[in-house]
Amino acid sequence: MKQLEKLFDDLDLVRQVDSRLSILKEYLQSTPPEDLAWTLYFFENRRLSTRAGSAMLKKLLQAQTPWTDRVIEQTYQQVKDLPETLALLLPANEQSCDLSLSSVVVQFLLPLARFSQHARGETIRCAWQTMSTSQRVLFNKMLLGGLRSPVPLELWYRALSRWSGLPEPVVAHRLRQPWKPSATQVINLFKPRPQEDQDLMPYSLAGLGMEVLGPTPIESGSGDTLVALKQGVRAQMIRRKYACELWSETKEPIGMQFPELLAAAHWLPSGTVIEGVIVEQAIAGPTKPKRQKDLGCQMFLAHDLLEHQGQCLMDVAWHKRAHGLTTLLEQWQDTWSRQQTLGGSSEMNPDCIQQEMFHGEVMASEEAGQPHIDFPIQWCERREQWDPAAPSLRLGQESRQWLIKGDQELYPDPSLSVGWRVFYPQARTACLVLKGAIRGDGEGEQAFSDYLFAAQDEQELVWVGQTQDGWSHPELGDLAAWVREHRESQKGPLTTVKPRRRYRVRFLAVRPSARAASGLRLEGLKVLQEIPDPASHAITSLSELKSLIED
Amino acid sequence: MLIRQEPEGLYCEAGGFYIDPTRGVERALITHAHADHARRGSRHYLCAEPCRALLETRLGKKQSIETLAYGETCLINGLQISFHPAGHVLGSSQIRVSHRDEVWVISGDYKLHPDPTCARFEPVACHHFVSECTFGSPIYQWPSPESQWSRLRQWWQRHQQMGVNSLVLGYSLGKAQRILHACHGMEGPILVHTSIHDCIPAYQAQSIHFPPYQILSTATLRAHDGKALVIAPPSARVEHKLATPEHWEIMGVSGWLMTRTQRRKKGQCHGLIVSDHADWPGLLEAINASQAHTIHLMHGDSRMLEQVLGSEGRQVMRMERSTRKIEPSSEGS
Repeated sequence: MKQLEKLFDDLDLVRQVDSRLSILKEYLQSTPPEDLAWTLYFFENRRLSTRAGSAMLKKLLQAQTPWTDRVIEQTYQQVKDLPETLALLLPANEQSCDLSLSSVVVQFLLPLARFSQHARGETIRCAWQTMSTSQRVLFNKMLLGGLRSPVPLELWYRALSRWSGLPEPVVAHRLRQPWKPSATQVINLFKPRPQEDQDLMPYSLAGLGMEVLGPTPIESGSGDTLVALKQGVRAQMIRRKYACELWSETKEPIGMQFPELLAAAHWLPSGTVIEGVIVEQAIAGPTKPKRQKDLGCQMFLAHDLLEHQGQCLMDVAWHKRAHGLTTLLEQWQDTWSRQQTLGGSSEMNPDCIQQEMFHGEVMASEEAGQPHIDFPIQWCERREQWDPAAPSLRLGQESRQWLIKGDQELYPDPSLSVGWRVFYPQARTACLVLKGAIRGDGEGEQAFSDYLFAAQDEQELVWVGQTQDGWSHPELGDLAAWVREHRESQKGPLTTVKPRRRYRVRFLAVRPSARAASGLRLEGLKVLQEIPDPASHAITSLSELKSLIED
Repeated sequence: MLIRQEPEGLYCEAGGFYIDPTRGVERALITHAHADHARRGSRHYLCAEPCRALLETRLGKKQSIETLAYGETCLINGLQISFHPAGHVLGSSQIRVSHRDEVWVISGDYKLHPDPTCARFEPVACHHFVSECTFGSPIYQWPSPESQWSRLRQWWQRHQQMGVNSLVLGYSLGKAQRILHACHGMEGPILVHTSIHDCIPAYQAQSIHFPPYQILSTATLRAHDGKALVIAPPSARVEHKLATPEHWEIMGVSGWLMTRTQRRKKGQCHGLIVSDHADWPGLLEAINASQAHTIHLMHGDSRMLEQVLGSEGRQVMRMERSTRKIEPSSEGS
């Protein structure tokens, strides 16, 4: 318990990532595995069933102190955290608990669920008596299920990775799997399993690169394809011999959050990695199911094939990757459909327990008269030509973001920050004036967090949007210096400047805003270029922007 | 009542003086030299002798400042006035006002924890005790200062090993000197903001000595980059040389850091729980030691203290600051 207390105490005093990592390293090196198991258990947001609620703890506090309900309530209003309030209101204890974390859990927490109310109260009281105030805070949080890591879990993964020698994604993946908080399990959790670890590893995904403007982003017959990037979670689906996982863009394992997609991934052949977007898909049918998630209505909209039959395809031309993805999805969609028709007993993938579980759910829902569920991995929408006059575009039904992939284009190297060409059908451009900036949390390029833009409203300039998107870091540094130099007034964090600089900007939507004096705000604002000769371009009028407000 | 709250501050009509007035008055009795208690613009000031130098630093040397040694008595319009240590910062005092058979003690800010940079709080018996209650909640129970200085030592050592500068934020009068004094025996270069350094001679004049330090500047910072412990007031955080977050770890030193919510609200996140104000047990101890039948509470949330003292049968009154607008005075600065 003292080690955990010290961990919180030390982490409370530092902000630097390196300092935090060094504290975590010390903790990992000095903590016995059974204690580490419980620490990780709590920090992974798991909770014990203790049957001790806040009302019970308040009563226990009142039995030990002179504090009335009113004092407890007023204190809670100050502290705004019940476990901490209770710990601070208990009589101070010079002693601190020498028991290890695992002993505290085993002696004081695990038995609570099967104790009578009186025995529960006595056990908690005894625990409080042995602990210092900061230990009581931690203990109360364990009791009430609110013990959280004082640093982001990603830092834990990094520290555990350095400590165990396992790659970070592997650490994150293993911690997300079901495991029990015991010394043996935690030792096993961090044992290298080279083949499995290798199979788990995700690719680095390419980001978004140059923005293509204009009504027609691709020439007919150019071989370019537009693939829709729906709003959702960008992810890659991995199915290899020893591994099946969904990884987010930042290489966070998210398979457990999308169990039906993970189950579907098991249907893919080993040695497959697909990139796509996870979206919520409404189920078609006369009646909408009450619990859509239970029926697996999340979809993985694939838009690239990164690995096939164990071969990396990143240096293969796009048209070949696209063809491979089409064949793959058709093949496995057929298998899926057949499986549903047969009732799910014959062609079960033997290496997959989750598939069986998922299949059971599907069958149960069909028996109950629920609609048929499509294979949840599908191609995203693709286009080889673009008609800006298409009715769907005018009605605003198109995806707001499209990637442009050239016929012979290889997968962009993520380390070069090139990324995919991207097209926004709803994007419009305007000429706006830089009117001010909002104070940031640093110096130089971080001196301002956002820059404010104004449109012309008769004789006035009125705020319509803010951004710092579109400038490079050095440009932001120069701009911050210019803003300071040309400051007109300062009100709180807002610096206004003389309206001397005009920019061509793009925006994705115009929304009404009750808070803004202009009555609107521009969404998805990005600076394209500065207009060198301001006199040559008129500032876009507010009325023009108002006419674009979307319902 | 002998002393009442007026828009200008606590006023003693019989004596014709104010205590810690918020604007310029004819005669001001000052409990200590913090800016919210000692303001410019009054014609005559009276304070405890150790407070004089600090008051001059804050208000300027041309002010008319009279002093009394701790425990020494003087008469103002027939009222007996004396100053007694309050243990808050150097020169801080409780002011005892005696008129006929009625004795009032105005605590100013005070603390009971030992502090080597100022005289320790002395209880003074009275009928009316005007107490601050900045930390008037039972959750505020300070850990021992030694435990906190030990945290400071470990924190600084860790950053020295990592080549990161350590910035400790504390008010330039009182808290900063207390931090600096606690650095006795710690190894490494200490850099001190000029506003803190300006108050040091007043301490040295009272034979309070500090470990060697240098004044914070770009040159000294460059010379000790990655090793230095910098002590500065919170306002200095925005100064260019302290604002780059990459090479700094920052720590606050305040009683408000007792709770996690407050730590988050303060922005500096975390730090040492060291205060120059009385904690809950300190408030109760001082109030009991005063033997007063009436307790007047000011500064801070007094609700819980009122309930607890009220349940003990004491008469408790809240001294609210008047919200009446004050017309500008020719004496005001």
